Amino acid sequence: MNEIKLSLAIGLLVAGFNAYASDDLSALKAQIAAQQAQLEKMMQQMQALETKAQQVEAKVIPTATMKAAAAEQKETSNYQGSLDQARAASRKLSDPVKVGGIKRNPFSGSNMNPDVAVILDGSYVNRGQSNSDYSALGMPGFFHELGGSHEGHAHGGGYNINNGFNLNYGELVFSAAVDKYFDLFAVIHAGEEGAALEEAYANTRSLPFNTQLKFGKFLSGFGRLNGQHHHYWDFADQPLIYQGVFGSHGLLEKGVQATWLAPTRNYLLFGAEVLQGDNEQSFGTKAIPSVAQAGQVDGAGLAVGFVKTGFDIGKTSWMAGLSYGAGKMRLNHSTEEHEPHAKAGSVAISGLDLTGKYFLDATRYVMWQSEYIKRELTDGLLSKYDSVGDLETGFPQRLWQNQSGYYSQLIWKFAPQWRTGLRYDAIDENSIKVAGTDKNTPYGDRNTLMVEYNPTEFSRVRLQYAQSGAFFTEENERKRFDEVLLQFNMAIGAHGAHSF
Amino acid sequence: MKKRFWATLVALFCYQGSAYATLNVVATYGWIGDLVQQIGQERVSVTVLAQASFDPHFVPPKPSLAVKLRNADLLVINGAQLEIGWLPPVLRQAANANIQPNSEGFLDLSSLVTLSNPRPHATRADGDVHPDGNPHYVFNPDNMAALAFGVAHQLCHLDKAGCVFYEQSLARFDQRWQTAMQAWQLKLAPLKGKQLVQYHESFDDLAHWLGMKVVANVEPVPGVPPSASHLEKLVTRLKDQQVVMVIQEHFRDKEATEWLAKQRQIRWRVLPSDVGASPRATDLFSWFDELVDKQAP
Repeated sequence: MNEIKLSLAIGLLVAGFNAYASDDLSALKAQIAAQQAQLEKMMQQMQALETKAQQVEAKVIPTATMKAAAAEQKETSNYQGSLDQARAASRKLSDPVKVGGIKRNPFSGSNMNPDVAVILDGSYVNRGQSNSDYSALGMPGFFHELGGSHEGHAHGGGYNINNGFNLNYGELVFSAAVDKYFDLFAVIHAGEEGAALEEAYANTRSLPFNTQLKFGKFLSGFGRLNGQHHHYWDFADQPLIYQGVFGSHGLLEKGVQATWLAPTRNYLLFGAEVLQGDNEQSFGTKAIPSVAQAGQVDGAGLAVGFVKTGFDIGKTSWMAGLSYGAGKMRLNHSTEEHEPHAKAGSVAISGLDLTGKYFLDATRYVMWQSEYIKRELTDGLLSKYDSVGDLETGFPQRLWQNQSGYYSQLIWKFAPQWRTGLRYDAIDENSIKVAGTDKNTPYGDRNTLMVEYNPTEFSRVRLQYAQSGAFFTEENERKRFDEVLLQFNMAIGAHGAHSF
Repeated sequence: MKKRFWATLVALFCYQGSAYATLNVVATYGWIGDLVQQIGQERVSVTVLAQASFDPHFVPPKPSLAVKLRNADLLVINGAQLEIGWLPPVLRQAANANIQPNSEGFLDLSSLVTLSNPRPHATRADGDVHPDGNPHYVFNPDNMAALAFGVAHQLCHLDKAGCVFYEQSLARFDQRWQTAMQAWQLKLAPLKGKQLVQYHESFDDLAHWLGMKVVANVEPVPGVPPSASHLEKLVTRLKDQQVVMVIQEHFRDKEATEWLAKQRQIRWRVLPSDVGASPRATDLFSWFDELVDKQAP
């Protein structure tokens, strides 16, 4: 501080001599007065600086005291402990050992990975029909060629087509919360020849008034069985009416679904869906060739509504549902070798389902489940084509279809790991009128018996025996045959529990 | 006649039950329901989802469960993955935003206690294992203090006007539980250091509290029933052990443990695994009274 004062004084003197040499006395006096004022101001500033410095020193003192006090406790402090640890890990700073490894990637989001599961389904089949005979069978008025494919998709059959071993699918299932507001669910369904995004939808998590919205591609809430995945079914195959009306993958559509759980004492759920209507058994969107009245269906073409209820009576839990769907039919089979044709019109499908589950004890139950589904085609047009794809003369003709079927099944879980079941499924009406003439289309039924062993809830082996009288040749000749099927179904990974 | 039918139908669907209580609480199991009832008393209306006659791991999901969850203000669960096999789909079906995990109206009791035997590296080959630890922590009565405090805290959080009330009933409950615990410990003191066999891992924490040693489970791995050959091997294995008792939960098949007890000529006890599982076990206290009396020598 004194050094600064000295240098300032010298500076002032030098400045003073310079002024004396150049100006007259009065000017000099004025200048000295001004310089004195300046000097006084500077002295004041220095005083202020000095007090500030003293204050800073005063502050430093207690900190130092604390440091000294802390030093006494050195041996017990965590700080010293961690320092000792670091020293022990690398004795000298110059050691070529890197200090501070990475316990966990600081930028990894792997905690946020979704639940992933792989589900495998395969079977061994022994059927009283050769592969080629079986593949050519169909359900008249619903589909032909169980083993055939149309635009790359299996028609009615899909699973367990061949005698011997079948790998039906390996499914990759992903699910997780997107954020506070949505859950996302995706299923990649892979067969031996390729994979497809079978389902991908988001569900709302926090809408008020017990409502939920679902959007994406999902299994429609129509009926009871449709919303359930194949690996959750009680038999290895679908009931006939499902196979005929919706095909092997069920009513699986792009669109939105809204549900509302009504504030009633018993379970009462209302649902409405607006769907694209791509289903290849009952709907479709593409224009029928050479038929002006059956143009492309632009936009979402299928509306579905359902109401479901559930209540307990004693030890029995009952579930019932009513479903209805209406849309446009555009079935284009005009390029097929056998009887190329196309169907168009307005389709209405209605369903009624009833399930009762009686709990014998903690691990045993008896469950009875039945569904009735009816499909009606109105304002229909049937078109037939020749071998080069031209519309045959006299077509399109008026087409009217009224078809229905049902299944009824009884499942008995008789031991913790064992279940057995019996199913009867049938088509009970198959009226098809072309240009007002009834075509007398045949239809049939089937009996199925199954026994399954579930070592845990993640694995299942099922033996299924069926007496089939529901499939017909292209000439509408019924083929009765027996079928024995051994199904394997396993799941690994994180797969969520199933609903009621 | 027809009119009456429709009137009954409408009444059946629209009857909502009386709502005098402040908080509508849903508990997954009977013991949780009773704990909430003991703390909340007349300020809460408690509904229990699982019937005590069922296996807590496999409660059948039913539409009626979704209805019970629909209007709940608070859902209290056991946690530690005990409900993983049945609650999530029902909770989703209920579409009640107030009680989803991480929301204000959700309480996972397992988060309040230290679980025994965590197995973070288990695979499904090890059976139906819960990686976070044994979910049957309620069988250690020492845990009840933390659980009761957690419930009282949560109730106070959702019903601020009742905080003093909950505090008082928590204090009363604590007092009663501690007194009861001393009596139980006294009754079971002769079992200290003795060996026992259980069917499933359910009673690990109870044995630990009593100072007993579980030398074997009847299940080969959790969730898988024993085969005849497994039982034979178990008997051979236990030949040189001084086992005093075989215990199991009420809802399981009883042949295996009964046979084992007969082979070894030791005590065989079927214990109620939840409040409501036996005529006597009407609340937490009488449930533990029965658990203790049944095992007492």
